[in-house]
Amino acid sequence: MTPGTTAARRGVLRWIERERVFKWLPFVPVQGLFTLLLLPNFLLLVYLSFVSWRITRGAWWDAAFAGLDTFRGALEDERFRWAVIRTFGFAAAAVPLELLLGFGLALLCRRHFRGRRIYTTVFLLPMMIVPAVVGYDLSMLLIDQGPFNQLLSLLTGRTITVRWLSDYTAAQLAVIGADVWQWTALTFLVFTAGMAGLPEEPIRAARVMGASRWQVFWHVELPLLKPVIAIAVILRSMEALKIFDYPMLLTQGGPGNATETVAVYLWRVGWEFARVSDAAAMSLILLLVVAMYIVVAIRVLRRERRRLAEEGLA
Amino acid sequence: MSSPSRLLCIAFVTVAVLAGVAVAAAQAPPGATADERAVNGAKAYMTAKGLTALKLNMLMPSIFTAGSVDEMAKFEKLTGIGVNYSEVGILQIQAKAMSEAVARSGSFDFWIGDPISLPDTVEAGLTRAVDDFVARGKPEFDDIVGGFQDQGRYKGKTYGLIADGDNFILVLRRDLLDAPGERQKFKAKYGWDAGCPDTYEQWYQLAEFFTRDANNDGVPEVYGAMGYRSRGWGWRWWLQQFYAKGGMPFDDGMKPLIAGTEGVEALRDYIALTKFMPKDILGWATPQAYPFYAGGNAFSIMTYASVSIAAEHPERSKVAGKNQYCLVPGYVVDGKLVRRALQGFGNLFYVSSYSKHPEAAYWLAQYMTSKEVSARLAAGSNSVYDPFRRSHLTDPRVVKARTKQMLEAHLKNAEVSPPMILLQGAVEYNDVLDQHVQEALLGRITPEDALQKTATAWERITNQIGRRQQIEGWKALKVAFPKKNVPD
Repeated sequence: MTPGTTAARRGVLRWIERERVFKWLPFVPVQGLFTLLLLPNFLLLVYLSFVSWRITRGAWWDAAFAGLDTFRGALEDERFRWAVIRTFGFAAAAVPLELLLGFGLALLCRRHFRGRRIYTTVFLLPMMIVPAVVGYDLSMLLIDQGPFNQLLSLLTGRTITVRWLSDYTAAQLAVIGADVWQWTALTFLVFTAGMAGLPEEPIRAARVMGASRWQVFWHVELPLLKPVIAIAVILRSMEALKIFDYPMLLTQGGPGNATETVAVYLWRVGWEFARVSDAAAMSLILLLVVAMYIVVAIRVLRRERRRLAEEGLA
Repeated sequence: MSSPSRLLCIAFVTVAVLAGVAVAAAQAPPGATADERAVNGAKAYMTAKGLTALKLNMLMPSIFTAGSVDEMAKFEKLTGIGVNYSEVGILQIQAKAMSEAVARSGSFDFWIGDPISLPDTVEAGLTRAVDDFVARGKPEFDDIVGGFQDQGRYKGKTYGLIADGDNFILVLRRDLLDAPGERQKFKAKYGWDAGCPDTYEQWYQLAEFFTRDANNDGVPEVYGAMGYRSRGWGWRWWLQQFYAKGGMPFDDGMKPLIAGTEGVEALRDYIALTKFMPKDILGWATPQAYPFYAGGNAFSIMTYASVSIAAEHPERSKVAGKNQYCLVPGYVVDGKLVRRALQGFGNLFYVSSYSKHPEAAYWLAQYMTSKEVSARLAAGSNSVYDPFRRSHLTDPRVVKARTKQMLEAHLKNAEVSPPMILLQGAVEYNDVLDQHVQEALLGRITPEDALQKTATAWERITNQIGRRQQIEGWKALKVAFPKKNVPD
């Protein structure tokens, strides 16, 4: 062995011996996968957003440079702006409902009672159904003389003929309802896991100090659950902002544009209208908006974690 | 032999052999009919490729599956060429096809699609021209009623084989017309004999008269009219009325003309008639509309000709044998009646440019659209393939399934059948129209605003695609518009 190679070997060994190597090592496969799978697509998306390409206009690599024109066009597109507003509106309506219902169900299932496991399984079932199937089934259930209105009529004692799929507002409620029905299961799961992981000591201490059940929940358990709530908000918001299946299957984005979400509109622009560059620019704008929202949410989550750590609860 | 002479000799023999192969390949396959030629052509292809079995991949609109699989299985039995199909919603075919235009993966060999997507899929390089196969297979185009096959042509080439004659037809309930005293009451009220209407105004009167709401609770036992009003569909019904008003969507410079008097009046009439339709009609398409009509819940329906399969079904229909099939109504323009029965969908078989076996895919398409097989398909009890050949009119199987009266009305309607807007960007032109027509229907904007907004959006689309190119496309499309006002 030459002196040079011995020195190099020693150098590598010294590098490996440093702890920080192992700190980063687990991320190598993830980063590698990200680089291999996502980065090329993302770069292609960025490229396409700066050129002017339609699928019907030759090869994408020959497309003319358009600078910021596609972004300007996207921001000037009234239909895109409304689709973004509508999507955030749907998320703002659906996510809190899912959180409240999921939280309530998790609280109910926290206690030990007969058949608890069965209830837990039943509550989780909707999440396991393919969204397309949910959309198709609901399109049959929600017709104005269909089973859902019949059930409502039976419960209220009067004829209910809400046009869930063809009235502007009712269609929006139907889409929100479909999302809530299916994805409350996820928040239920997150909260159930969160509640199961709550530390016993602070709760026991509060009880010893004479706190009522409500006080324990409000002043101890709920603050401890804040990071879990934040995670549920982030997860569901990200998904709700991508809502596609229900509006497509229930109403084709209609009536009018009542349920045309940004995902539906992007799909139309990209694949039906063949305006790939416009769709790419719109996607990037949307990514930016969603990223800002997620950054804020993650900051809140970190702050809560820090606070809990400072209080010795995490 | 000297070296140059030997080279010359080899070259001659090679050319002769290649020419022989080419001639043999280009020969029309034997067979007296298009389906026989398709089968023989497919067999020859399999032999030439040394194959005993081949599975083609296909995009299938889901409502076509039930009607198609048996015939495809027969073709496989005869030729060894079978089909693996992926079912897709009928309105989603375009998007799937476009993704293949980008991917160029050859993931499917052929598909059934509408003519609206044809210009885009051709320009994207996805749809393969089939003139070479047509020349060899001779798919009996002369038997096809004028206008139908034109939908498969673009810029002078044939890209698709028509499989589905989708111009609209109006169906009335004859049993309700013939009910005791109804005709007299109707004549006393409106001053004309109830029956197939000549004009949209007359259809409105029929719908008004025959809407029956005995309980007066806003949920009639019989609705006076049906037509499609949902997203993705409703615009077609307006376009037909607009054409009958004498309207044309563009001038020669591709400036939109829809926001004029004809468009606004047609939209007002379209909206007015909707009040006699089921309240949920804004969310309905074929899967909801056909059973509703066949269940005896409506007096009339304007829709695709395949409604007759549902309406005349001996077990599933409550109105079998009780239907009156009519020419579509029109408008009186400059003192003359103008009827227009829109080619409201019209499915065609297309072959992918990225298919490894385009010829095999073509032979299957020719088989499915031939006189014999298309008649079987048009007569199928689960089929949505509508008649498009003259021979269907006399084919006893089709007559039995559809009724003679329906076939006559349908093929007469085809004589005054204008195309949809089949230009590059057609899906976007139509989607924008659809959106605004629905907003007007919902009362969110006025008919004038709806059409003005559409016209503005159409201008943007034309400019984006390129006006000169669109003008060329429009010139070519204008030729396909009917010349006569009413059928002979």
